[in-house]
Order: sequence, then C-alpha cells, then structure tokens
Amino acid sequence: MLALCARFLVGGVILYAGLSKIGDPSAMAGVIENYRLLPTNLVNPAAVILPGIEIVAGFCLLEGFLIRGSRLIATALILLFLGAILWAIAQGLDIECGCFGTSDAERVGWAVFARDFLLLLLLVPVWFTEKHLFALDEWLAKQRK
Amino acid sequence: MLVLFGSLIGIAANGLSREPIPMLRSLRDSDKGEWREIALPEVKKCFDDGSSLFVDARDPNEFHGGHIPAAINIPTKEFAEIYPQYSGFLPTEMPLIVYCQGDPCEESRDVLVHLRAFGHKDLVLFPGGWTEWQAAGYPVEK
Repeated sequence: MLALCARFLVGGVILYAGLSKIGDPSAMAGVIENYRLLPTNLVNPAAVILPGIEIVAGFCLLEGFLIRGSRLIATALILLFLGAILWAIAQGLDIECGCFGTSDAERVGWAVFARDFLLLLLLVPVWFTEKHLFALDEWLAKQRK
Repeated sequence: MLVLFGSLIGIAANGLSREPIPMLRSLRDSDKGEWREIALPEVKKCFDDGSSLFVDARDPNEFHGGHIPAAINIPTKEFAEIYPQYSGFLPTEMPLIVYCQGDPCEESRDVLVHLRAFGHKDLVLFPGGWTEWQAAGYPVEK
C-alpha cells in the first residue's frame, strides 16, 4: 500500500513537472543555462529532452507500467535534480529552480532540496516491492497467463 | 526504451512549440558571426531613427542609475525570470542592440547567447556600452 501511494505521489509530481516544462523549451534552456552546470552546447538538448523523459517516467510510474525502468529513471532524475540544486547552492547562485517550469518563480534553496530528497525517499518502497497494486504490469502479466 | 520514447516526445513538443529551439547548435559561438558589433556612431544612428530596441544587460541598480532612453533591462543573472516578461512584445525579427557597462562586456555576450537561443535573429553588440554612450553626452534616461 505504501509503495502504491509513493508511486502515485512521485509519479504524479514527475509527470506534472514534465508537463509544466515541455511547452516552453526556450524558457527551460534559460533556466538550465542559469545553473552553469552543463556545457553550453548541451543546454538546448537537455531543455528539449528532459521534460519528455519526465513525462514518460512519471506516467509509467503512475500507471505501474514498466515499473523497473520507470523507477530507475525517476530515481536518476531526482538524483540529477538534487545534484544540480546542491551545485547551485554551493555556487551561491540565486536562480529560479525551474522545477515546475518558469511560471512558479520558485528559487533554488534548501526547501527545494528537501522536497526532492523526500521524493527520493518515497521511491524506496517502490524499489523493494515485488507485487505492485493497481499496476498495469501486473494486469498484463495476468492476461498473458 | 523509456528514455528514447521520452526524448522523442521532447523533440516533437519542441518542434510544435511557439518558440522551438535548435538542438544541435552551439550556444556560445560569437566568433561565428551570430551577431555583429557596432561602434558608437552607428549606435547613435540607430537610436535616432528608432529602428532598434536597446537591451541593457547590466544589473537593475546600474540600469536605474541611468540608461539609454527606452532601453529595456534584461540582466544576465536574471535572464530566465525577466525575459518572459518581455517576450510577448519582442518579435524574434526585431533588431536588438545589447550593451552593458563597456568592454569586455561579458554580460552583453551572455545575454546575446540567451537571446539567440530564444530564436532572436537580428542581434547587435555595442561593446563600448554605457561608458561610451555617457561620455559622448548623448541622451540619458533615469
């Protein structure tokens, strides 16, 4: 049950984050550039690709579809974001987080780091659960039998 | 497979968005003629005929202390926050002259990189910047 709640919560947040970013790649490029973390020629590809990956990972986690892959990607994404936030804090950058697009104007800081860390912790039961409730994977497996 | 599918969704969404950005283009290559540099006399000519919009890349305190009349302030460090406020009335075809305090004018170059990433095509750098403009005794707005 805990894994189900975690899947819904983390999947929903990641899906929402991806949807809020995907419509405005140019603004996302600006946000990513502000982190001064990526080589400049990788900024645009990251701004274009990341929201799409978030949407797919979030949706699959929510639906319980390809759970092994989607939880791996969700974990990798959250670790990536935590690393970027830590980097920005360490550099003393007062920049927009861009976690949910550019409309929320949320700044990078420890509150954002704590929220992402909580999401990472929530993924733990998803990793250690064998049979997932309300999961498309389980339903497909039953259909095959 | 999920990563590939997600990437394809991102690429498709970028293609369909109002302001698609180039995928395989270096953002910082000012030496490749992505913008031209102009000197004070040509800048003054553009100011007089009103053919270009001036973009001040300095921080807001410096901008409020004095700037080229009708210039808009888009500081490098806050580009992502401030640019969306102007993007509605900044067509990508509009000629933009970007300046900062003066040579080497790194802030202007950073803003130019951002503007180009956002699809602006007619970009000009005024390296002499505020220092040259003010020294020439040209109009100032505060």
